[in-house]
Amino acid sequence: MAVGFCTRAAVVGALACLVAGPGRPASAAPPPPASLLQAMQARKASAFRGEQIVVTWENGGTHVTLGRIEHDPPGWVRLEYAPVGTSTRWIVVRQSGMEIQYDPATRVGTKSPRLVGDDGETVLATHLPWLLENYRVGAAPGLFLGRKVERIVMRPVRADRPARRIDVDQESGVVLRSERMEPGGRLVGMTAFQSFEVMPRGWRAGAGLPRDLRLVERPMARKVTPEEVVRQFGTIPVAIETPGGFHPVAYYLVQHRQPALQVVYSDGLSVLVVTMQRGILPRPPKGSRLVHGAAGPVWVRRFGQNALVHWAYNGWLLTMVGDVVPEQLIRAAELTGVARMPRVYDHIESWLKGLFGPF
Amino acid sequence: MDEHPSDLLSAYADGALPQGQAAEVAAHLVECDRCRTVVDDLQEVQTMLHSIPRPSPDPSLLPRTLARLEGRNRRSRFVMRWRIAAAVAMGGAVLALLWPVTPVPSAEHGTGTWYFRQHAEMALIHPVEDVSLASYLSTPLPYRAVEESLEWR
Amino acid sequence: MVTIPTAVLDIPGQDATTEAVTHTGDFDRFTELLTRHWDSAYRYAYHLTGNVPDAEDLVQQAAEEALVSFRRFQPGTRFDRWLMRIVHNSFIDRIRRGRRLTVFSLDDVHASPLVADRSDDPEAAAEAALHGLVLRALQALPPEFRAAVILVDLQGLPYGDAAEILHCPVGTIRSRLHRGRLTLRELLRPHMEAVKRGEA
Repeated sequence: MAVGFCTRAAVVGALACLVAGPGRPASAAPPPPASLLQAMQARKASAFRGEQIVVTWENGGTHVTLGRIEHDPPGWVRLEYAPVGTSTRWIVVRQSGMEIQYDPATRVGTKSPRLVGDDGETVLATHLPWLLENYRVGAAPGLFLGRKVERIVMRPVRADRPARRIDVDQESGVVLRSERMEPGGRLVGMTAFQSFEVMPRGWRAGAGLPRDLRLVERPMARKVTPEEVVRQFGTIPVAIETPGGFHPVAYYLVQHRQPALQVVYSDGLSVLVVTMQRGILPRPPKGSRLVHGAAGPVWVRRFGQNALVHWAYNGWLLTMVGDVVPEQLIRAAELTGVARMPRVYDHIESWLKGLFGPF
Repeated sequence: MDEHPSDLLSAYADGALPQGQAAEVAAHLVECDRCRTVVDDLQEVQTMLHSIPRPSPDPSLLPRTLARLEGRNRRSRFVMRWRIAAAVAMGGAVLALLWPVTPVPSAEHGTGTWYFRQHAEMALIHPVEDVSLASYLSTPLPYRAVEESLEWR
Repeated sequence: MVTIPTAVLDIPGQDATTEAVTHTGDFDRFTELLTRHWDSAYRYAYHLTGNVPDAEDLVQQAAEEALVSFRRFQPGTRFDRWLMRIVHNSFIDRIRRGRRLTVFSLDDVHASPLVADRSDDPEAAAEAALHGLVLRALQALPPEFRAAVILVDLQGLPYGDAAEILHCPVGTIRSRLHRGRLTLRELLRPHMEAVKRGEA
């Protein structure tokens, strides 16, 4: 079944709008491979089941995780993960707008409204133009697990970004295999289905969660407009000098001890999330490493393929997370502006502000 | 000298005028009874002033005063020492206020994984989901996240 | 939390104005100079105030202020003149503050003698009466005139020294002295005429 080909006309129409729209890249990039559009659009609706292996390489070690997937959106998506070499299991269930994550052994987990992605065409409008601008996309037909796939290679224009190679199942649009190459061509991540089977829609209708779960409600991010951001914080937040190719695509308000603004930037293929909270004293996350920059202190932490930088500037605490090399993030922080190391005075001021009311 | 040199008469009587001026006043006095009377009176006043005794202070006054001064000198040195100490303490306090204090990474500080988790969830709504999913899964993130999520209660 | 050092709060307000700390060596030198010029300073104070308690008070106050300022004492300066100037300034300061201000009116000049001499010697009694009369007349002078008259006529200083002590030009001393003496003449005229008539 070729879902992607049926919608291609609509996609091309949407693209035409994008190119003409404000704040979008003006260059006429070559049209993306149809299977990529298919993967971006139709896959969310496809019903299937399968087992997946996820392999990553980081800090000189290899991590392998096995995943079992039951995919029957929108009613039921169940992902069960088991990292190799551990006794832990992890289950994620997406059901009727909620996302539940729990440990099957302890039956403890969290529950939150699921972040709803935009519909297919808006997604394309949001990300695809940047993808085409930041990556050179090539495609060739291939076979994987005996299925017809299109092998899409996305090479970054910028040398600091990882390259991707994905095999998109021609029938379902599901990414059957993906590889991630760091600059220099080093393979650092791979996901691949070991078994994959397309299922009829609604094949998991009636599935349910165990009754004895103890779930903690987690506050969920709320998508807001820039106007609402100003209303909430009374000011324009810090203008982040993101690494090249990233552009703001969405604003979220989230509660993390105090109101926080999250700005999501996209380069078309991966996202960069900047969390902004009012504050003077940096609150470096556990495990982070202090880097003394020219302007002031920046804390860095790696987590898997992602890196985090945390710093303070202009009365804001800023935390930036993305699939970007840490050096690029540090540089972005320094270009944005970094407050000097806080003094005892700042600690006292911060403490007094904590005593005498909200920021 | 046409006018009475009234203002100069005292100085003349004291012999404190320059020679030329003194001669002029002397010439005037020869002719002027009124001014001569003034000079006589002024000399009489001086004589009476000299009748005032030149008292000596009570012999105990100086020792008493010196004792007081000594006490005060000691006290002022003491006070100065305090002031120096206070200045040093103030300087120290100012320095202390300006002393940089490096925040220490802490689990209480917003649990680093929280940020990664937020990122992962944002990434999950990205169209090429599996690629992001791989990074989401590449770490023990979900397992830690649940432990840390217990803090949120 | 940083605590404010208590030493900052402990400084007594009065002593905070104490500028000088005189080290032991300086203090010894000061007492030596003070002792040497003590009598003339006291006399000046006595003539300015016209009575012993005020004179003692004034000269003690001046001594304290001199000690405080001794650090700024220029080696080339004559200590006695410098001390007299401090006595004078202290005196003016007292008048301004209205502290122990003894005001004499012209009527007081002819009132009963200051010193109630109980000796039986009539000559001594008459002399004491005259002292008192002149001293009272002196107290009736405006302070600036009084100071000029005392310095020149009672202390026997040259005009220049008086000008230095009173911190004014020599011409001013001359004029103050003259007008002071003329005022005294008016105040003492009844007595002077009595003397001329041979009554006194």
